Amino acid sequence: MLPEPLDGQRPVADPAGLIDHLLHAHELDRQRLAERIHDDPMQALVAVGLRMQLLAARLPEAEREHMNEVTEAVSAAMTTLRGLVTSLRPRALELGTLEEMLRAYVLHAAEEWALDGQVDYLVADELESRVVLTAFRLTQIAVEDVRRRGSATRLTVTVRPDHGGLLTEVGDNGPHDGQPEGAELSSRVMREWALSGGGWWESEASATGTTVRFWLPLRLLEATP
Amino acid sequence: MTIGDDPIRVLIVDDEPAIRAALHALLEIEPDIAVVGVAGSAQEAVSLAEQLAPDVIVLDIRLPGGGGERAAGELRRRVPATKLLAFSALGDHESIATMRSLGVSDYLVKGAPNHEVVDAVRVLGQRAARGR
Repeated sequence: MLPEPLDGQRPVADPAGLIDHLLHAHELDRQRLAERIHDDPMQALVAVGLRMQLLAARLPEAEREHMNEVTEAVSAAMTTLRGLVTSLRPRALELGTLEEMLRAYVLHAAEEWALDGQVDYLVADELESRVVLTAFRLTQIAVEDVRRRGSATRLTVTVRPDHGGLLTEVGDNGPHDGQPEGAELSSRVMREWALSGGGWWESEASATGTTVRFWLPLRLLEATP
Repeated sequence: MTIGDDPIRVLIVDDEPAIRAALHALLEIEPDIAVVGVAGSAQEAVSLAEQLAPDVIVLDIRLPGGGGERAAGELRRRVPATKLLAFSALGDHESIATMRSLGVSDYLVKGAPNHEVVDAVRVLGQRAARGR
């Protein structure tokens, strides 16, 4: 879902409109950052990697080993940047509905990380872009955390109507074994996303897995359950 | 392996000069591969492809002048016998599926080992020869 251009330069008065524009500004900024990372450091690293492998082939074996180690470090940096670009601007965002986005993103992520993935989307209503973007980004962070915890074999995402809003659950079956690095920040980010959308966020972890749950109102200013 | 006695003729398309040069250096040292052209934009790629009729085009998918996706569609139409090897920094399913749907024969993520690039060019070169 690409952000719509601003409607002229008129100030936006209503809170829902302001939030829409704020979300779209965030998305555009992520797109800008993703393009910068792709076009500058990633391309430079690709060229360096190609050249280093060519040079390594000409070196005596002892020196070649050192060069190969550096090439592997360059390759690892490329992989990290590629993941960052995908996280900043997942292609699934270009799809039309939240259901399509979640199915594309979650099922592909599960396949890539060798998890058994499932998406149950039980919402019939058409959703405002504010809800779609917020729900997608929250789910994305929760799914990325499943991968970082690294202990799950199953990932399920369920989206259903609840108390005039959208209730999403991201669950996995990995036994909880302490928090991976950065998990606390992820939780804070998800909570802020949910609160900024007028909703709430919570997480439960146990020996049988972790469930992240968040609720977003379909319309702003509706009561939180 | 060559196509008969002829080397596999390759066109390199990438908007980054350092990558174009590095790919050129990589492929040129292979005795059975000849780099016949390099292009830095979609329009240049289509123009050179029509002029040179290469066996294989190594194609970046983010290009000025319409992008690699548009270029892939145009190349399939104008030089159908040429095999397209997408070479992209992006490795997500959607990018790969999009390029496959546009007729790209193979997709390599940038950062793949050099021998994989050379092998992919060889495989497509052989397929192009069989299709002629």
